[in-house]
Amino acid sequence: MIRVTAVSHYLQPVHEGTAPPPLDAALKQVCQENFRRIDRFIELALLGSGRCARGRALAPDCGLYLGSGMGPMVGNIACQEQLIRDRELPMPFDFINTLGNSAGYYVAKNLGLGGQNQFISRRGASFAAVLTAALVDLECGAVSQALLGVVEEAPAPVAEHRRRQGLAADAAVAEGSHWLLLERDARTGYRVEREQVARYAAAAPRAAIFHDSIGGAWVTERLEKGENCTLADGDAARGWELFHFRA
Amino acid sequence: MHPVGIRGVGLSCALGLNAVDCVTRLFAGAVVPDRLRLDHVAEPVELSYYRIPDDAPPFDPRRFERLVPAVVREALSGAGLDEDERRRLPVYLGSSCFSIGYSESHYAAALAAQAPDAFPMPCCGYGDLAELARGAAGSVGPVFLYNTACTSAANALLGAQRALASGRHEYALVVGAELANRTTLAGFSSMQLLAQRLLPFAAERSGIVLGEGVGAVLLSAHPEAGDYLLHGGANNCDSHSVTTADPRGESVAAVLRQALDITGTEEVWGIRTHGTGSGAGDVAEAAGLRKTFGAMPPLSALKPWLGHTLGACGVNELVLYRGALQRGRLPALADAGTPDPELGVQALTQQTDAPSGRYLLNHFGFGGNNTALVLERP
Amino acid sequence: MDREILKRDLKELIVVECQKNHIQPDRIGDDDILIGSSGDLGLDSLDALQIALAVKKKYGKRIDGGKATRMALKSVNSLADFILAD
Repeated sequence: MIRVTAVSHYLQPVHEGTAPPPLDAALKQVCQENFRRIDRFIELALLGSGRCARGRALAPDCGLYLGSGMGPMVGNIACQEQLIRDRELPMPFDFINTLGNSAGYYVAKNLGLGGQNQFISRRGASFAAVLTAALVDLECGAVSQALLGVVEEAPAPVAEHRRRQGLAADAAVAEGSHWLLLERDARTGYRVEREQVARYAAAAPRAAIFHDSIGGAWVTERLEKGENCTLADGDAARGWELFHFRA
Repeated sequence: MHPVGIRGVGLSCALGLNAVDCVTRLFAGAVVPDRLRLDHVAEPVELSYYRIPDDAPPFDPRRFERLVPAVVREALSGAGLDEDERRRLPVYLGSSCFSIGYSESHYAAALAAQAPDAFPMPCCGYGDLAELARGAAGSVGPVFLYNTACTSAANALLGAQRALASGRHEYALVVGAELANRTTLAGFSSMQLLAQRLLPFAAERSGIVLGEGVGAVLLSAHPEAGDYLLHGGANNCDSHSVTTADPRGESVAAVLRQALDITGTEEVWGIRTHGTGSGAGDVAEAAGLRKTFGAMPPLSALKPWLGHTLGACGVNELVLYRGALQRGRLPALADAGTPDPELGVQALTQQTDAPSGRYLLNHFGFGGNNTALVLERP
Repeated sequence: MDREILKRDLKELIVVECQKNHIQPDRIGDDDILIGSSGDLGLDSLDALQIALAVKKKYGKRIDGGKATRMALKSVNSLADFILAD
């Protein structure tokens, strides 16, 4: 039986004209060293994964599954501005951090992980994608433990980011980092069970605030509060897979 | 571990516009890369680059709209999937740059038109290419987009194999896609990783040569007699450096050992190395290989033929290597340079027979991400 | 260009570009070894690339992979020499 043995949830609204709060103090609590050359995306990944794993014993084969619908934004934006607008080569640190697994590198370094390290995306449903990949690996025995999470940035200017995501001009946006620790053969924690259904009607109440992985945010928020929940993945065309989290 | 069958393949790379032509060209002598000019930066950069011969302007992202459907159709042709099976196909896709070319073009055009609201990364997320693949296949299945630098497509193959082995799907479509774009070329130039010639494991090696390639593989959960088999493999990471694996080869050796153990593989008849020709990358791979194998199996390095296709190389080079094995031969380099005594390994310079049995496929990427897969020739 | 001002600016550039936030620029010695795990600042080859590109953008002098120009990155003094040379 696969169970959730730890959860972390970070959701921060981002407003016009004000930068999101610095994470230095929060990172000090979960980071083994003062990492440099990291951007906001990596900070969010370190924060969420660090909080989730804090105080837990991570197995030597613990797999890391990081997802994001939008991916690292600030680094990509910097590269595009340097290259396309300023007609210059991008700075090496900015370029390296555009790769999805740079964040995975720092998370692994921080938590002492040496096993699987994946970055998987699915627009609007990255949490379901990494959850699926982690469950497949747990069930087949490739890993005994999986640390999975999603990270989304909300880079400034906020108005541009709304347009980038096709949101209404007054939509509330947020950055987020949402993580679960799953274990095979744990005795306590939410049970994770899957069910395939052809039709699914119940709409999970969505937060009024938006980022691409808001589904993941909803799950980790519920679990942190001690509430059972069900994540629905799929659509009318292919049917639904329901992930039930039950205490 | 339950192996999956390779039921169809497609490929477009510097060697040609379909898998058969590409494999034929693999045995027809060395390939000299093209020259590509990055000329919209203030100081133009000219570099060696392996281009797909599709007669299209190199940085036009709309090339994906022809190339991705083409390789998907090629992989599905002859596989006999019915409409329902196609609808249910999941798509696993690996790339480093995805379709960033659209963002580059739109931003550049907005700036050129002096649009007051021009902003960078207008097209974001990684999903465009998977939509092209699903459209060509007639699929509404789930999508998994892998972005782990050079191991992306290899990790997509591994994810697909495990999902099929678990019974989640009957078939899976795995795609690797990497096309020339300004960001990747400028980024690698800025990191001073590029060379004129790609010489894996050679003393004279001085860096990588990039290439573009789009490939597709159709996997079946129920292998049939005569199918090449993908047995699965392993993925790990090390925290040595954000650009390369530990040069002592520990994490490389660990992933090779895990891939062999998890697939129950005792004998390996050949290894398709990652072999990028980079100073540090080849050191880590060579060290890991020597730690793992007493008697070294024949080593093939394919990147001198198609370039380093980054996130897509796992699929592109699987298609090529399988094609070579189908001919019963391991490809050899016309010129592998001078052996480097510090590495202690060298890629094949003479073609040799490829018997039935198992073969190892290596992939190592930025951030110390390592993936090894096991392929079997029936 | 005043050499003292240049050296001060270079120290600030190094701290900013390499995100060595806990170091005061004026604590970097003119002859401190910049690159290498046995160096005084503990910067690596990726930092070297970042500094090289920042120097190119600010001062127009290119530091490529060649040995002669790599020597420019040895210390703040050698970097100042490189930039001031014709």
